[in-house]
Amino acid sequence: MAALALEAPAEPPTLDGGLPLLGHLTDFFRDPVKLLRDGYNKRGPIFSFRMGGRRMVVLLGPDNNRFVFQETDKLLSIRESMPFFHKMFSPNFYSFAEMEEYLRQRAVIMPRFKASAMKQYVPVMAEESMALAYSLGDSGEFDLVQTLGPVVMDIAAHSFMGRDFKQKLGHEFFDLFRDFSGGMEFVLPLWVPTRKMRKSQAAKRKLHRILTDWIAERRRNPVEPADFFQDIVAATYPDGTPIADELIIHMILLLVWAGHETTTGQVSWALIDILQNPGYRETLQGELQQILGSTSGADMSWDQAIAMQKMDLALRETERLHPVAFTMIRKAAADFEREGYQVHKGDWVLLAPSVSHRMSEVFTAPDEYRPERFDTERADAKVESNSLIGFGGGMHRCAGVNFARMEMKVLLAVLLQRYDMQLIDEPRPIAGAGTYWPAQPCRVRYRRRKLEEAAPADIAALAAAAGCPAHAKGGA
Amino acid sequence: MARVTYVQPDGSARTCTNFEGMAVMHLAVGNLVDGIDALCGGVRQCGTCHVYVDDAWAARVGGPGEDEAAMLEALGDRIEVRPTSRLSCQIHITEELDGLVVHVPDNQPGV
Repeated sequence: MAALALEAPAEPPTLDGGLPLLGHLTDFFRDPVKLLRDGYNKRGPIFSFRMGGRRMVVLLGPDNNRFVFQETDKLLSIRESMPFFHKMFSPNFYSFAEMEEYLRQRAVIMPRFKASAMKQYVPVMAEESMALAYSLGDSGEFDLVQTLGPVVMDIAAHSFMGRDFKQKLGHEFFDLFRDFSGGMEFVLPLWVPTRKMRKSQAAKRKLHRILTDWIAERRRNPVEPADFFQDIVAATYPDGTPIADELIIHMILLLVWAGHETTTGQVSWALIDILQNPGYRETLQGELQQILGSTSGADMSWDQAIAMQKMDLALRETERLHPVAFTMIRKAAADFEREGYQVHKGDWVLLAPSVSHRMSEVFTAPDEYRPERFDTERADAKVESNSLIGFGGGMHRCAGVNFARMEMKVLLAVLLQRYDMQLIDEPRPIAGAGTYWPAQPCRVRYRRRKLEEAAPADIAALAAAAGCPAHAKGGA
Repeated sequence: MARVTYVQPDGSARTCTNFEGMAVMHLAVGNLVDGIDALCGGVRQCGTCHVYVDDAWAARVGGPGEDEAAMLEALGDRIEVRPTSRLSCQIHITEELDGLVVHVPDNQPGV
């Protein structure tokens, strides 16, 4: 038997039930995370199920995560895994372009997303977060997604297209963008002219017109000092070739789409988690008091944001408990064997942060909110590599991770510093297979805090004195 | 967790801890380690995340893949390529690499 098994690896165990032809398609789209969790509980870290004519192979746990990250663009293809992307952007764009073109485009975007490049964005993030605070006033109620979504969009529009753009076209742009995002469609063939899809395509055409004009405007009248948009308009490929307007438009739309869709959900969950865990909320407000004193955060510096390490831990823990990208999809480009199971060319391979992040073999008390588990200074910290994968991993790891983490930090800091907040509704994830946002309504009641007069900490001086290399060169 | 130590040309060192799906480059950039620029974002196209793997770790980390080796070779007249040279974006961190030491070169190509 053993010899036989060596010759022919087994097929991955399959889920029970499922309809003829459709397989588990309807279950998946009703509650994908439940389907995947049940699969893990009954079949273990590798199993398969059918969706229509497709076979999905689910791979769970840190070592399988590592395998998928390392094999993407080798045994596994990312290009064919998101058909809606072609329609929303262009088939020759970004991750989905041929490798060489992808690499050229990535080289233009990446330098603007380095962790150290965040210095220039922190003031924008603080300004937009404060704009929300001013509009909220001293007390009242707000709905998380409806309120934080526009702020996230404002931060993206202001950071990527410039202050002038945001002021002039912010709201029109936001509405069009919502329609455009509606084009994210996993199930139906894309030629089916659903209402959502038609709206998305119409919005796309309008957005293209707006951005074409905007590029022309910036070519005529460059702004000084250059902002992100000016840099992109002026950018060339490493070989000196200029970048076509069409491509600039796709890049900008991709950045805003990717940043808005995911960050809105993630920052909403982060606030929910903090409000549901008053002990840690106090820890965070203590940290804020130390760093910001009694200031509002309007003048928050990059150094201050970097120093908010307890907030970093909170964001990691929310990423673990509520990963908004709850699955990541690749397509097998060749037959291969994984842990004794056969995967065939053409199978869809799924990673599932929503399940892998809650495996008890990997995390102690996996369903509990314990941000300190990620504090690597602690002697009992023991989080394995490749176990936290909310931003993906390997070559296709989220390009905007530093931006996203920074903006969530700034927005949460401003809100927690200013208000005492309470959840009104019981939070639950949205139904269906979209980005894993909290369902509406999910409202918060807030009241302005009274802060004792205190000066903010001089973080740069403290950090340099503590020997932080990032501050060693006169505030690098 | 896996800890990676980055040694600067002046001998100063910093150790960072990984639990995400990161390469040696991602961990450095996320922790603001000097001298690892990674202008292409981790797709072996720029060479600006070049490191020398410490001799004690070279065997365990292994050599560059085909594309990476071609990239290093192409950079040969701009940077000092040694047998332990790797693009740090291509070293995916696993628990087996806990304790890894890499040396950051004096300069990166074109930076």
